[in-house]
Amino acid sequence: MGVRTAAPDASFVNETDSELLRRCRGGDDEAWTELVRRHTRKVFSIAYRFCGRVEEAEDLTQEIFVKVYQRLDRYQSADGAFGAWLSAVSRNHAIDHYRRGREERLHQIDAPLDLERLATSGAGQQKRLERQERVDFVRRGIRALPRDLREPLILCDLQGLSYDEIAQQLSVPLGTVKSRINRARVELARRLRQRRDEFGGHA
Amino acid sequence: MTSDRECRTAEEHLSADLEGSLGPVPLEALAAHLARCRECAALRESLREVVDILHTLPVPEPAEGLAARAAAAALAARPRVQPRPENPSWLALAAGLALLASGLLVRGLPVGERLEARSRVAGQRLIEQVEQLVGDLEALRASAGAEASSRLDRLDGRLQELRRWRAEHEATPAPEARGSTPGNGECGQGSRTRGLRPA
Repeated sequence: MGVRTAAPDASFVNETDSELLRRCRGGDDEAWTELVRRHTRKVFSIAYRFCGRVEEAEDLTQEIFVKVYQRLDRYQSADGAFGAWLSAVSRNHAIDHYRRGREERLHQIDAPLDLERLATSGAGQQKRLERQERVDFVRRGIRALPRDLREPLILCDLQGLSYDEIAQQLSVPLGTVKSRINRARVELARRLRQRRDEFGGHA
Repeated sequence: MTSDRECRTAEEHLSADLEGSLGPVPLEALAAHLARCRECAALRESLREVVDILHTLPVPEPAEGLAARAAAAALAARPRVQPRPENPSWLALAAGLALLASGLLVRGLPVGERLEARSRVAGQRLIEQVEQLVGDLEALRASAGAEASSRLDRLDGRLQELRRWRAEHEATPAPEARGSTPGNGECGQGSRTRGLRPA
C-alpha cells in the first residue's frame, strides 16, 4: 500500500475508470489509489459545499472513499459513469453525515474561511473583502437554516441538482422541494438585507 | 397599499420569477406588487444576490496529500478474512466423535453385552474412552459457552445415555478390570487434562 502524491501515475494515464475499477476488484491497490486521485477533488467539493469547513470536508472525503471502496462491487456500468455514481454516493453520505446527530456543528460560529486557499477574483482588495464578507455571511446563514430547508437548498444551489433529482434524493414531493428552496432563499435574502441595513449598505 | 397576504404571495413566487418559470398571470401580479412594495422589491434584489453567491461559492483546493490519505484509509479499512476460531472447529470434531461414539454405543448395547461376555477388560477400556470423551466434551462446553450451547444441549441426552450405560457396566465389574479404572465415580474426573481444555 504505497502512499502516492497528487501527481498521476504515468502507468495509468491511458486507463479509463472502468479499467481501473476492474483492476481494483482484482485487488490492485495502485489502481485504487489512482482512481481516488482522479476523483478526490470532486468528492471534496461535494463534501465542502455541505459542511463549509476544509478540515471537516477532508474527513468526510476520507469516509466517503472508505465507503465507496467497500461498495465497489455494487457499482455496475449500467448505473452510469463511475463519476456520477461516486457523486451520488458522496451526496448521500454527506446528507447522512448531518443526520447522525451532528447538528450541533452547524450552529457553531464559523472560523473565517481560509482565504489564502480560495481563488481570488482579481478585483480590488476592498471589494474582494466585502464580497468575501457577504459570502461568509451567506454560508453561516445556510448552516443556521433548519434541516428541511438547508438540504434542498444545498442540493440545488451548491450541488446543481435539478428539482426532480432533489425530490428523488430526499424522497419528498416536487412541489415541496420547490417551496422549501424558495423559503430557504427568502430567509437568507431577508438576513442579508437586514445586515445591509444594519451596516449602512456596506454589508 | 399592499397587504401582508400580497407580500406572502410575492415571496412565494420570487424563486420562480428568478428562474423564469413563473406563468404570465402570476408574473404580471408579481410585477404589479413589486412596483408598489419597496420591501418586496428590495427582498427580491437580496434574493438575487444570495443565489448569485450560492452559485459561485468558492471551493478551496483540497490538501495535497488528501487523495493518498483517502486511498490508504480505504485500503486499511477493507475487511480481512477472519481466521476460523479454534474452538468451533474442535467443537465440531468433538461433537462428531461424540455423536458417532454415542450412536454406536447406545444402538449397540447388545454389542456391549457381547463385549462383557467376551472380555470385561476390553469393555473397561471402552468405558475409559467414553469417560475421556465425556470429560473433554464438558470442558469444551464450558469454553464454548452460549454460542454452541444449543448444539451441545442436544448431546446432553446422549451423554446421559452413555453415563447410564457406563453405570450399568460398572455395576458388575470384573475384579481385575476395576483396579485399573481412574476416577471411579464422576464422569471424566481423571482424564480432563487432554485436548479440549478451555484456555
